[in-house]
Amino acid sequence: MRLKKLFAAVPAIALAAGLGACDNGLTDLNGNPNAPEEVPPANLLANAIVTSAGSDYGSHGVWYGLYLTNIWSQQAAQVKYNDEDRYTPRPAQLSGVWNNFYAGPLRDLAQVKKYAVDAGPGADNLAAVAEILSQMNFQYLTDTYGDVPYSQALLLDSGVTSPKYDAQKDVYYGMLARLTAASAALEPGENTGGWASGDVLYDGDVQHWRKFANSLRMRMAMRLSEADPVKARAEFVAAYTAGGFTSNADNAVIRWSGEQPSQNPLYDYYYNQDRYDFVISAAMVDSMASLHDPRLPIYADVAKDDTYRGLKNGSLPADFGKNVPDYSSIGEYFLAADAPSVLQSYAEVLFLQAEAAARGWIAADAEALYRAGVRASLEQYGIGSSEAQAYAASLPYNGRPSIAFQKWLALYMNGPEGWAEVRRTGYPLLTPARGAQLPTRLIYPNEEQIVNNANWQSAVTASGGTSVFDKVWWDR
Amino acid sequence: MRRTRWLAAALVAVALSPLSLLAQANAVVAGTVTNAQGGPENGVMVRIERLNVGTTTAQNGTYRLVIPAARVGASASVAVSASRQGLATVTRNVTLTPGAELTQNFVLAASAVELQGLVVTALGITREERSIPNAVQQVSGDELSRSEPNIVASLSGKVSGVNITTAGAQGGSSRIVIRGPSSLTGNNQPLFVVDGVPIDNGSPRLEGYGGRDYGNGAQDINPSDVESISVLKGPNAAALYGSRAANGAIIITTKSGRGTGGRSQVTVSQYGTLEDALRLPSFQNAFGQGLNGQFEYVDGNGGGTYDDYDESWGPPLDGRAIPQYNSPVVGGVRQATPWVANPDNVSSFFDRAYTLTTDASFATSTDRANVRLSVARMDQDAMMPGQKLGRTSVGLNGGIDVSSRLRATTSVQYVGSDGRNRPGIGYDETNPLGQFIWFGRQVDMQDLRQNYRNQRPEDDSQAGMPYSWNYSFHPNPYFLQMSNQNQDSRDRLIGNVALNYEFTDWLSAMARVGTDWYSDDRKVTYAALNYGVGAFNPMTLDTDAVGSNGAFGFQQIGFQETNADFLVNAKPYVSDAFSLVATLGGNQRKVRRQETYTYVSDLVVPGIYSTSNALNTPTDEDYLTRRQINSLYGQAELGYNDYLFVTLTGRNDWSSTLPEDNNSYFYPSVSGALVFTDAVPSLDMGGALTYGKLRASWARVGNDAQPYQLRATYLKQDPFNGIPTFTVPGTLPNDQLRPEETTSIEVGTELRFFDDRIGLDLSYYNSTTRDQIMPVQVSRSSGYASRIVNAGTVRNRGVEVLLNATPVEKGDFRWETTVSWAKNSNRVVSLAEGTDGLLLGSFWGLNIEARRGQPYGSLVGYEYQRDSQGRIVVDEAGLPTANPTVTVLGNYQPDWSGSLTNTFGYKGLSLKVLLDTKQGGSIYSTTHMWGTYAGVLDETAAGRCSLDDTYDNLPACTAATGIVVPGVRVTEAGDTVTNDIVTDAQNYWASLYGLHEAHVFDASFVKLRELTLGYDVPGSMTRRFGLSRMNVALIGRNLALWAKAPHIDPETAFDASNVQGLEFAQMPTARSIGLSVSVTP
Repeated sequence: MRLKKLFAAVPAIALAAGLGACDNGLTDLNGNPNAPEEVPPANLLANAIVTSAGSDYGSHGVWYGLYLTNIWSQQAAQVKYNDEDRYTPRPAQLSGVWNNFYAGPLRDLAQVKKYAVDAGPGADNLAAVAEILSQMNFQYLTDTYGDVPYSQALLLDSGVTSPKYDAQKDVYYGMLARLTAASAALEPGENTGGWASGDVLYDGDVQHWRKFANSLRMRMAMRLSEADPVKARAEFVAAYTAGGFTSNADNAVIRWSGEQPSQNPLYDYYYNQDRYDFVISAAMVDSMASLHDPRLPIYADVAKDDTYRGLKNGSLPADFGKNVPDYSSIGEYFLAADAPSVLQSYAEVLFLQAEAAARGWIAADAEALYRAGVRASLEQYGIGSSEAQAYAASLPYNGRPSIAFQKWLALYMNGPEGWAEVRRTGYPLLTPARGAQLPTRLIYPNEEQIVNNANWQSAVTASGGTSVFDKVWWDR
Repeated sequence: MRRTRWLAAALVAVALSPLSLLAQANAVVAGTVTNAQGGPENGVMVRIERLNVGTTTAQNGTYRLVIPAARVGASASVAVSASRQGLATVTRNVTLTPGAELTQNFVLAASAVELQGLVVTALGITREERSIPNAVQQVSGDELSRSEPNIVASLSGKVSGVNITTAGAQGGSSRIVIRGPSSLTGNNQPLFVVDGVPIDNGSPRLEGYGGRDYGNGAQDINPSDVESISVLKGPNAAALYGSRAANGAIIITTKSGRGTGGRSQVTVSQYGTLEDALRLPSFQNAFGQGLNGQFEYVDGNGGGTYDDYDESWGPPLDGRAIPQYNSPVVGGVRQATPWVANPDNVSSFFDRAYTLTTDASFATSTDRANVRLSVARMDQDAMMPGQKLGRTSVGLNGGIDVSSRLRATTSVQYVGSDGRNRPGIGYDETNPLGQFIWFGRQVDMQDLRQNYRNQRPEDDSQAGMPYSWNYSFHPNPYFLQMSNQNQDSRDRLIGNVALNYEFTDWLSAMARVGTDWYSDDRKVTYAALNYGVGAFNPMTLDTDAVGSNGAFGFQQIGFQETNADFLVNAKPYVSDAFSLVATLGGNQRKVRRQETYTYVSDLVVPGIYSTSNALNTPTDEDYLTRRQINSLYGQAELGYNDYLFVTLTGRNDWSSTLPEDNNSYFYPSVSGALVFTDAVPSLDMGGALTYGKLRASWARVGNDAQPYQLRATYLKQDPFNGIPTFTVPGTLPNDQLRPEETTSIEVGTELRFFDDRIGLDLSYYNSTTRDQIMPVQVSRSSGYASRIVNAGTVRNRGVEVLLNATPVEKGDFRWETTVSWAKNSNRVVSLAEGTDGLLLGSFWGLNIEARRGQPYGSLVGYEYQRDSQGRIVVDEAGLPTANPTVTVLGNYQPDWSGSLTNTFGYKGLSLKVLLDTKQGGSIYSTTHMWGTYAGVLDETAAGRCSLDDTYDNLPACTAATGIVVPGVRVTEAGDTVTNDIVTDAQNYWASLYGLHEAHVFDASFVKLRELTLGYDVPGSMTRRFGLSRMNVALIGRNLALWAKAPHIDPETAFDASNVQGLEFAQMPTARSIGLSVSVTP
């Protein structure tokens, strides 16, 4: 080869490489081939509903359900490694609930709401449903942690990296206002974006959603009965007038098919992971046994000696007696692969109304509502109406303590609501596993001290939160 | 773009200017180079440094050096030197005259010390050591341990300032970090380059809850093919490689056929070593399984007395009769059998292990061509039962002078590696060692070994289940290892083809295409009737959902990285005093990685691990990543009188992973070297100082992002009742990313005294990485776990000392010693605005974090609650309590590291001893936490008593029989008093669960890393066997350990990621002893 030709070739190679460097193909190469940039909002909605309840730290999952709220409301007891039952939850749990709701369903719902806003007025129902579910999840958060980020939450894409904590009172006022607005915005018939296909609660039935919104609003309003009775009453009456659940057919239920991977999380924990660390509590079994409650065979299985025996919460290993088969397991009804996760039931709504009547907020017969609530609960578990009727009629009634007690029984395996109501009403009179009181909140996640220190500091200063025995505002 | 044109123009100018010099009368120096025995030496570099001319000797040892007249002038007295790696340089002064030819012959003697050798630097450019302005340490292939198959691990103790850790399992990953971690969340390991082509050194990320360690990419390199390894420390040395070498570069040069002196050379070597555990935990043998001093086996799952508990708080092992898992069942009643200790039940779990390596090479060369072909096979039968590892390597390295100007070279390495039954890592049932920390100390391991294939008979409470000691948590460890099979195999090809054209003796161009391609197949199966193993994780092939008929998963990884380079080298004559070497190059790097997974959670028929036998629809996943970087770079080395050198480099990268407006980044470096003993000869300290050099450099290196961090995508989740679901991923991407930046300075000196009897190399460096691209944690209440940002600054500064000395050289006896010492001071200067900590990883509540103001890698967890005087505060039960605020309990980086190598030679006999140490640093031993919680470790034997005297097998607790925790307690009245409350061991150790401080230990250690006793059989003997050379050696590795941490080898980790300082039930370090025989016919 001629030398000069080669010399000429060298800068040509250099230039070619240089041009290649400016090629737009370089940027295109960075389009992610593995995941979509757009998905139908219905698929986000479905995920948000399922993870609200059925993820590990969801309201009906293992770590927020079994490990915390089911045992802290003494529905269940921990038969092995019972740190939580002795009120020393593990660090992952302290943060898991927080992380699950905020960076899980609430984030997906925020994305759905954003989609609905972009889609315009035609997507009102989608927006309203996402809003109702968001407020439901915020209530789990604030009932668990007290003051929590609310007004500045979920705004990272707008640049809010460290949201301030809102006082629980403001959170409650906000939730009630948004729930009310969302309930009013629901329009029968309209179905933009095909959202109904992802509505795993009500299959796009707007009437049901309105009843659910009103029922949730009653739940929230009643929570303020001691802390802010005027607001509580006004909100309750408005929600009651607007109309909540009127039968068990209205219940907000996630119905797991039971086929992999759509299995109740407790089934997965007990049978796929072989963990039998929880049995029914002695408090629950003893209460039900004395009343000959027909739900007992559903709530619990017999122990190996064919009797129903609950475990006393917080037993030290030495007190365990022996082992798992010595106690009654949580009933197969709740541990089946297709066991339903009931977010809110007709029975709960009746108990709420009974209490409102007993408080004189609404003009209704408190005792009748109380007995109707018991009956609705039994019927929810498939107990025949005559038997349910008879049992409901046989119960003593002495006002709010009776209502709270039966509500506690009816809320079995709905840990978050069970725990919140035990704290609010003080009934039933449960014996703490150690010390003088049941845990009344979770401490904030340790990570908040790192990533949101100033706001965490003000929240702790304002309302506590370094001990599980601090009380949230509505519980003071 | 403007920069590109400028570089191109400069190249043309450089290329064209000296053309006029070609046509005048030349001077010639010619001659022969021979070895001490008089044989010809080919491939020897003969150079006149001052005139920048050089050539290599032909097969018959002759050379001919033509010097253009213009460079000679009227006549010139110059130094001609002959050198080759491995041989001492010889220099002679001659006087050149234009038009005249003179003869200069050289005799080269073998030299052990390569102080004046050539060093392979970035891009494979060989530079003379004296001109190199930064710390480069070269390790020859001969120095690599033959008893360590992983080339990264074998560098331990050989290079100053590097920190090497090896994950536990045999065949697992080794991690190497040079001069401390600089990237908060990215890769902190250096770039690996084989024969000029970058290779993948990836390794699996294992979080300590299962998954298998398939090793790090570079371990595929066959150590016996390695000619030399150059360790380029830090960005200064590696500026030319660009971003990937921001953490330094490991440049591996494979052996070639050059230097066989025209002969054909065959070498066959055989290495065989036996391995056993260097250190196992110390277990107690006084108490067996159970709780509260009680135990009785019925069904191993809670049917008896604490028979589901995998803890050893049971009855004393005093021979009493207790029904046990292996007691005979007579008439449906399990008989009571003697309750006795099995002290060796953990040590006897392991298999006898060996490693056998055979390699053979053939090398030959002519004056125009050379070739080397090697074949090697390594077989390892690991300590872990059923685990086997193998590696077949074939290496080809050849070069041919196509014409007098055009040379073609190629190097190809094929590696086929295979593994069987690699154990799972960490706290997971797939790691059988985990159940020895949760164990019944009375369990008879040999009974488990003999029966693991058996099922429980009909009359047993666990009829039909696989034979085990426990049915609540743990299948038989042999069942886990042998019945759950896994296999992996990797085919890998690393190769390049290069053409080098010499336009003139001062200008050449090279074009090279190199690729690293591999295909990895991994399959993991779970036998029927598994229990205790927990949902299938496709990334780790672990499972939580094994169907009753078994489950399996397989994974295929296809990887290819192709680098195409061109490089133009010019060494134009500038003047007698000044020299210039200029290099200009370009590179295109393309990387593609595809992973596919298939998993099946239950089978129709047990034992057939095929998708056609799947009970449910198999689940498939795949993932593809692609990235590309285009680069242009240049380097100019200016020399003055052969003692002062200034080097400038510049590189511009265009990366696919950055936003279009920010995807171009330029990084420069400037550096200098001064051989001051040549510049000012009077500085020789009266002749004591033979050689003295100062070096200094400054460099800035950019870095790009990982792929797909710019735009948001949705993440698919499990469908719900057939309805597809998606979620918003936890990390918010960022389309405004900028390249990150590392700035580094380095100064150093190399001094040699008393005719090179003592050599000292000192370096100081200070390196800062800013604007790092990383996910930074945000409050989850923002809706996300993290967001991708440019933030954070990490600084590393440190000192490295390397001292070589030959204290004795007398007759045939020679003693050489090398001491290396390095101290790196690392600090996380800043993190993303508003954050003080960045979580890197977590294990049982202990976080590994980057904390602002602390060194990278803080261990953060709970400490003891202490009073103002520092005394531990106990609770009403006399048990220690934890301070509710988490604190920094330690840091995984050592304070300093060092090594001492002594080599003694007498005639053919040599002895080499390498001691290696790291001092400081901490490790969180979860083995200690759970091993004390479960009552298996020896410290738990003391203080076993019955608190309220309720357990008949234990004495009542008193100050003598129980434990009184030294500390204070606060009375109900609020007074602080000395603790006098007696507690028992079971409660005491349980109270330390989650109290991380009790399990964080000083990770300092000293290891007897290598010992080699070698003998070169004298020629008079070898010739009788028809051999020209024969070497036999006793080789040993990891022979002894002195550590402060109890029970474990603190030099361990779950993986080679940035999350270090954690361990649980690690595979013990292999101590190996063996023999090597190497013959050359």
